[in-house]
Amino acid sequence: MDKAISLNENVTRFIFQKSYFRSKDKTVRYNAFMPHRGSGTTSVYRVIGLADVDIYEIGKKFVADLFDKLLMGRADIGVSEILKHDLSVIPAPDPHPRHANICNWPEDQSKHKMIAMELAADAQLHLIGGS
Amino acid sequence: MKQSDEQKQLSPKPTFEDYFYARKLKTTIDRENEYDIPSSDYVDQACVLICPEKRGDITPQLIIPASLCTVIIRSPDTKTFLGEYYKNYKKGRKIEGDNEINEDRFELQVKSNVVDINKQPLLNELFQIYQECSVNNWDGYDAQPISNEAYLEAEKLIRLLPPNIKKPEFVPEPTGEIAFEWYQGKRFIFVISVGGNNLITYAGLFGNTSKIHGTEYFGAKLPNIIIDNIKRLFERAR
Repeated sequence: MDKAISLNENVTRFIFQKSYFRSKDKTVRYNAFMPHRGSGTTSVYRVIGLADVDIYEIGKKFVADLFDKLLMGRADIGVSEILKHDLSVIPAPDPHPRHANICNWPEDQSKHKMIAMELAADAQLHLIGGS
Repeated sequence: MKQSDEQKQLSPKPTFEDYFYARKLKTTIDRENEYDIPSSDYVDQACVLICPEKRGDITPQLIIPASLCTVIIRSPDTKTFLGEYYKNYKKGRKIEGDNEINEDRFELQVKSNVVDINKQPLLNELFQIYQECSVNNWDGYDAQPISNEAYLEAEKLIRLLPPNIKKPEFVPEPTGEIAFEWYQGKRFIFVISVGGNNLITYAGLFGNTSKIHGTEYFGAKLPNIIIDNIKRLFERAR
């Protein structure tokens, strides 16, 4: 896996929570992208060159199984869309070589919300089984 | 003899105050949102939610129908009565701080049949979110549990929503806050959240170029900027 993340890549946020998407119009909710309060980052995986089945395999093995959660789907977003908001995407190859973090979130909580809304608006929701 | 006195003598049911002692029996918010719970007849359901001992003294200021309150149980009969709810709740659940429970002090949700009919479905939805997300790591990414304080503040917020405002959806946030979302499309969205610290955090997108975010003090009234932006969302999206 290339260490540097390209602007043309997509990253994905695995979804284990029904409130992280709207089933009515199949869109991603902003809370899916909000950063973790402790680390101040949003955990994502680089999906370049991977088929759907391989992407879900990572989500299942490296997150869902570890925390006993059901993988419901994922939200894909272009790295370039993330960088527009003065955020950065930094490789963090633990627990998986494709793991990365969205970093550099501002301190203001209300701004988190607004940026997360914009990321969610740019993201593509993929639900397992299309449900 | 007044009729109420006669009734008292005929059916000496304990009053709500006999059951519960609490610091305040009335809300501190607008008069129209005040509810008295005059007697135990008004209490449909009481269920123990959490043992408050772990978190110190967090007695909420409000006791209103369907609200949470910390109570001190005075009479032995009442202790038995409420103890049943507690036992039912405890069944099959692991409760943090279980060993430290002081059985004279429970945190309860008291539901009364004195309800604002229009708000009750929202209160029920809120409670469901609270139940689902008041545990650690509810999202698989180590999300903070929705706190009791956040739940109470969200409940207060529901009661303060003007009747003509469209129904929001509740959104748990990984920070442990509860958000109210008004959604008209990917880029027509307004969200407010509370976390039990007397602050409302808000953010909104109003099309491709207009956006807003901020924080307001949340006291006895809903700040005007919140109402204005909810209205703005539905006007712009028309």
